[in-house]
Amino acid sequence: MSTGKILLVDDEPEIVKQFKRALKSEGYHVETAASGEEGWEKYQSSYFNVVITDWRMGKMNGLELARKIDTQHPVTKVIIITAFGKEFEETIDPHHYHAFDYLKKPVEMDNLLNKVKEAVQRQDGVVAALEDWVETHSDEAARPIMATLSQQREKQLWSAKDILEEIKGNTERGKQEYKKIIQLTIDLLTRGKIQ
Amino acid sequence: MESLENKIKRLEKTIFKQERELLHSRQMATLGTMASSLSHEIIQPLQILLATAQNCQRDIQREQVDTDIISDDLEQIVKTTKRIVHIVNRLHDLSHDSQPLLESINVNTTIENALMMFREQLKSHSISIEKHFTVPLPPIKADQVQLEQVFINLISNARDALEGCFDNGCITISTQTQNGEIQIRFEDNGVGIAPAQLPHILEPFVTTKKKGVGLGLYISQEIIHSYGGTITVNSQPNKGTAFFIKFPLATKE
Repeated sequence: MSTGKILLVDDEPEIVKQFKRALKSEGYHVETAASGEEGWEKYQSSYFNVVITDWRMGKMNGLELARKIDTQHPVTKVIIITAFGKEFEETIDPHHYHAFDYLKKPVEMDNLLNKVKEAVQRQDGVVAALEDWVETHSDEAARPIMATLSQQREKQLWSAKDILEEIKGNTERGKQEYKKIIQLTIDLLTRGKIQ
Repeated sequence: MESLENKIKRLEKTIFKQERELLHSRQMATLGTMASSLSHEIIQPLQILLATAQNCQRDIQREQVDTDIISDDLEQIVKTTKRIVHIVNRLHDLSHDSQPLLESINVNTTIENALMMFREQLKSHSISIEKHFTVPLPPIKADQVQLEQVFINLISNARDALEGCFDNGCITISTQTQNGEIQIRFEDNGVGIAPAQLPHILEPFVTTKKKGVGLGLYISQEIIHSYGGTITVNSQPNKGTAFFIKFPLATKE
């Protein structure tokens, strides 16, 4: 069972070094970015359980990054680190984006690790289910099966293992399959039929 | 009836007192505009200190101590603490009411010290600094804190002028010696000053910003003049602004 993949975005290298050290000591896989843009680039090519980002960072700040991340599914939990509570609260639009949590600087390591643990536990349901299946039934999960997943009745060949990899790689196919799985769940709940 | 002599003495005392008050309020004005940005400057190094120390504690708790790593950590803690000390010292100097102390001052060092107060803000606004310093630079006679105030004001204005220019915001500072003077050029490629305002920009209570009182450049000019120097400014809207400052060299006594 993987502990989780974290994306750490901050333009201060010393802070990145220490936060990464703390996260790695808890067994997380950590990738880093030195700017909002770099963070977005890295996020495009891989799924992360949690994104930790500084708020104030040049061209693309943490909040903008978080909003962009929010447009993609599966949705990642974003923790935004801010310097000044009041100033930040006045900037965020109360009707739109809400990060998973906001941490005020200076952040204590135990606090950070607890929040990350919480966020990782609230994993995306589809990804968590697929991961569980792939781990507990690795042979079956690797076997491609014919399945119809949509109303349009197109048959396709896929294995659970492949799909999980595509979703975690944030590929086009992964995104589409993810949407189909969600739709399938909705269909099951509303029509109780599966062809 | 008051004798002329007594009247003169009395007025001299009043002027002296008012000069001291003016000096104090000049410093307060600079301090006021810096207060909020200073807290941000201090919070970043504090985060580094806290995270580094807590990571050491965690290593010890988990019995995974690597003396090389701890050694690096402690070095980082010392270095970062000194960064904060520098800022706090400047804060103290700016808020402390004292008579100007004239010493031999290296302008390059003064500019570097002033820049250290804006490190985090310049970074978070992606503003780069280009320095073309003449080394070694002959000294001038000035009060260290007052001279730093001049550059703090200039950097602060340049930062504001570059607000929103995340692509190639740049402050270029050059120093050189010529004709028995130190010449400093302080330039930004920000929003610039409108032609109508340019002739008045060094006057008191003139400002192009929503916040602030408009005393920064006036105070800087007063300080520069008190050392026998001059300041001129050139600007083009959307191209940038450049300040030219000249100081006479400290004469050997």
